[in-house]
Amino acid sequence: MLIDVVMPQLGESVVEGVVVKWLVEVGELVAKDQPLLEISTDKVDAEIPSPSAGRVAQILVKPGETVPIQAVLAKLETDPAASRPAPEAPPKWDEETEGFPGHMARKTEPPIPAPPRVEPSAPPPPPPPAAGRIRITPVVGRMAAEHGLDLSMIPGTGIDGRVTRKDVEGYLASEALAKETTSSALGSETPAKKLKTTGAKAAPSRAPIVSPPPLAEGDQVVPWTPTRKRIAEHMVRSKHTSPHVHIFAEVDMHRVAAVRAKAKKEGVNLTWLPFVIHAAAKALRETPIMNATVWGESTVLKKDIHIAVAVDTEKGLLVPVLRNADRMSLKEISAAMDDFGARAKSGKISPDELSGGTFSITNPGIKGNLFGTPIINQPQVGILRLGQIVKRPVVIDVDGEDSVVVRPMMYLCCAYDHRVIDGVAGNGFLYRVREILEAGDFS
Amino acid sequence: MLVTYIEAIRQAMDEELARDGNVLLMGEDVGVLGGAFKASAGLQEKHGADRVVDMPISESLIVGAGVGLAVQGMRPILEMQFIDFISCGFDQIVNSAATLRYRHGGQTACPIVVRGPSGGGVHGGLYHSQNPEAWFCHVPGLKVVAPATAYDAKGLLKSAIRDDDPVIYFEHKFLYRRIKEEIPAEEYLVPIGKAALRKEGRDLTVITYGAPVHAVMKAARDMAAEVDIEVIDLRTLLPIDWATVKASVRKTGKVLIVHEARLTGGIGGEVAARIAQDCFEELDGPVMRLAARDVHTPFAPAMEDYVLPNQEKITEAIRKLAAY
Amino acid sequence: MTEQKDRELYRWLRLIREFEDRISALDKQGKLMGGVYSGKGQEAVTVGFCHDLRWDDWIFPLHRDLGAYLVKGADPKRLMAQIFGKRDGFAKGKDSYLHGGDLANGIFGATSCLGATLPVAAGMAYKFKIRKEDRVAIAFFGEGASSRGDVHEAMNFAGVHRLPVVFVCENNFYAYSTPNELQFGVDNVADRAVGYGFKGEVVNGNDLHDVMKAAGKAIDRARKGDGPTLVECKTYRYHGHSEHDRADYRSEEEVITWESRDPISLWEIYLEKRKYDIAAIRKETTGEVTRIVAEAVAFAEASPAPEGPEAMEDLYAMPIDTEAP
Repeated sequence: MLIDVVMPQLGESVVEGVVVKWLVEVGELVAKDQPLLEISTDKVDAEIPSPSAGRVAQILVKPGETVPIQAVLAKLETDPAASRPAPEAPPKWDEETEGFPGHMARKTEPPIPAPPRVEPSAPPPPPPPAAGRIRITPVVGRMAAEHGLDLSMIPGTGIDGRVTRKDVEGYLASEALAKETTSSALGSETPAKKLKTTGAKAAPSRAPIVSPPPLAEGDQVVPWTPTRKRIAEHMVRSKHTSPHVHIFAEVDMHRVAAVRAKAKKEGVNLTWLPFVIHAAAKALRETPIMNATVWGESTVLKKDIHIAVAVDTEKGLLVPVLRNADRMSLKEISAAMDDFGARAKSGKISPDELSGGTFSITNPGIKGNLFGTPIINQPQVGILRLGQIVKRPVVIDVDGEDSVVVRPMMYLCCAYDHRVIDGVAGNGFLYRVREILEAGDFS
Repeated sequence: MLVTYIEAIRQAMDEELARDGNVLLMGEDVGVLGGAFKASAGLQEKHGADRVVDMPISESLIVGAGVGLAVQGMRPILEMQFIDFISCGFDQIVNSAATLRYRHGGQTACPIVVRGPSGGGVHGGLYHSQNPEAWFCHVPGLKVVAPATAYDAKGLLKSAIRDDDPVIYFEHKFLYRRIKEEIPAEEYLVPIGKAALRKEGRDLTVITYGAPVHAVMKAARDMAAEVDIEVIDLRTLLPIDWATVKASVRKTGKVLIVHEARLTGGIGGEVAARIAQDCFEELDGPVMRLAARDVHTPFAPAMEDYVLPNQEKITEAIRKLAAY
Repeated sequence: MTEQKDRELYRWLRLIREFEDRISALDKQGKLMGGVYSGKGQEAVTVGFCHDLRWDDWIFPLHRDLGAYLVKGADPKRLMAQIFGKRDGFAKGKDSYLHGGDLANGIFGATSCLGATLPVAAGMAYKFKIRKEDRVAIAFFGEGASSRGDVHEAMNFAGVHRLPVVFVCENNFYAYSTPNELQFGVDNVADRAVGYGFKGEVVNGNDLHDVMKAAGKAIDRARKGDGPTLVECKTYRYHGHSEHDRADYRSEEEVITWESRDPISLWEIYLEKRKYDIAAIRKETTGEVTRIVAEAVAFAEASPAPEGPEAMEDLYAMPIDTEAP
């Protein structure tokens, strides 16, 4: 039978060793304990004795190679007549520090028979929870006291129906949401003030807790991943924080289309998106209030224009940031977006590239439908969303006459934070983006 | 540069021996042999037999002599060949070194480092696997550190050597050659008394140190889809960085403490008690501990695995706590 | 020896005796707390070994060697404040009696694990050796401590490196209550020196001449780089192990025998034989040592007692906040 010659662990900290040289060749007959090879480790150099008598069948590791402990170095064909399974090698002893292991063993008395083993009796099952008693943790008790909550109203998701901190946070968030809807309808409370009163304690808010849904056969419960949770939290927070105003522009993209066609002839493939980024960056430079972030109860007008562009990847939505977009040419923007797209697929975008945006653009692509109302990327104050670009008959003025022509049209939605931005500025910004796109000058 | 944990230790000693003529290394077989684990390989040749000293097998003497040298302004590094043998020098550490400054009313410092290989998982048996750090955390006047990475091993040892108080430095022999790490070529220190936040998370905090840091980090990564774990590597066990511990507990509300030393009387008990006392109202579950079973560290692999914490046990404990 | 030195040595013996007697009295008056370990009867050993030391040599006294403190240069006032547990003591009240050394004068404070100072002394002597400083370390220990492993480990190391250290065994025949014959199987502790590769010597510890002669040779040997010496001084403590020990494990006859070999009486006989004016010397010395000790007691009594929170000081080089918010 074939048996293995392995790299031994000579010392407790040793993890690998180097084969220095072989003292035998393939096909050679060897005696038990005959040195087969020399090895070297961080701690010792040693000759490895043969584990058995036999013929060297294979040598698997060349001199100079480093292999981990227990790696097979060679195989021996043992004498068939004497073939018996090799006894398992005794565990290695650290002779460097402990001396010869047999030394202690020889001195010991014959072993004393062990007393019979007594199996511990199984512990009694825990008493069932008392009916009507609410099981909570200390933090839940504190939160309930702080917010004046009736804990019997909050369904518990912990072990034995325990009400957890997440349950309370979820409950508070849903309550805050309900309150906000009511109060904004009444117009009695400004959103900014609301943020102060409910945001601080309830953060981070979670999805509203409802009683566990009735599950039918085949229903699938998919717990949120940490990424999903972060997205959910961010979306809810943004909606709570900023009163969104959504406005729409209908943009005639025929000049953009002309530039794309010209570029294509030159071998450059441009998508629609870089044009919108370019136009937005130009308009932002002219409308500083749109290129801003909110810090407490102040607005920070950002000097640099860093546009966060949503990219759909296999790993979910990523939002890389295009730095100083207003100083980039159309081709540079296009190249940067291609680069992000490629690297997002391979997961090689660094965290630094995902932060620091001052304005956002989201492009859902060809299946993006007519239009949509985006949610502001906090703490920014504005976001643009591209709608589907479709050819439509439109009425234009030709030499004072109304004419119907076919043009590629796009609904462009802009959301802005009404705490910070008034209608004049918001509308002016979007109008300007439209003007730039329709003028078709992207130099 | 890419170094192993033990090479980081060797470099720390080499650099400090070169930097400060008052630094000495004393221990059994540290000189000609370069240490049983080669932690001091080449140091005697480079720094001389007067400063890298082969000592008789006398742990009490090694520590006691270190105290005498410290009174003279020297900064001896005192190696225990295995940390299991530190018990032979126990009196000199707790009664002589730890009290030196105090019983002299602040007249002197005691800048000694007692270091040596601790820890199991290497089939070392009863006397080559111990984790006796808790004994020393009970002793005022000492500082106790236990690095988990090559970076920390070097930076903490250099800090320990420069510290004016006695520092017990537990290195983990399982990590000696099993981890390799990129560390800066230029000089750096890791401060004593500061924990490292190894991973941020929101659902649950695992507090650990030493070799289990690696198992905990792997568990945290593997479980990322089900639970968002924060990992704190204490690094220094006396004094513990309570500010970092408490900030994390206040954030997550759930705590698991993992250490390779035995459960009863271990560091975990102190950490748990402090959290229960100071963060009670932030807790969203019981403070849990995972440690070695209350038995000696046995030799045979199956028994050793049964006794020591591992990734599987860590994962199970995290699941239990997360569900609470 | 000159008359001046003879009288000086006498003055030291008498000062220590006065100090010891005063402390015993203060203890009986309830003015002291904790253990009081009288070295009365053993004065010649510490005077003999410390008198000719240099200021930068180091001594490692054992728990009843307050005489070593005084002769090596400790301020009697601060020593008394130390024994009173006051803020002006060497330990600022943090420990009593001889646990707080006077490091500025090269006096190391012992722990209660007797013999544990010997490895410390050996370590310090190692530094003297590698730095080629001609300083010596004198490590005192009782014959009781000689049973401890630390003593063996220290002497073994000192023998290996031929360190400039002198091991002084004060054999007063009892380790607390346990007599020599139940402590070791050799005739003399000094017989063990051969096992460490250096010289051992037995001297009459009550005879200052004998002690000084042995001390001179041993210190000289150490200073010249010829290695350690073990000197065993046979002596006797008049009191029990502590002031709370009646010591009735000893016979009255034995005590009387030793009192008749009192180190101070022996020195007075010597002074008389030298034809000094012993009556005048005795009178003058009595006045001086009484005054010094009285001043020391007054100082110690007036020294402020430390406040409770001072307990947290002097633990680490930089205070550690263990109460993070």
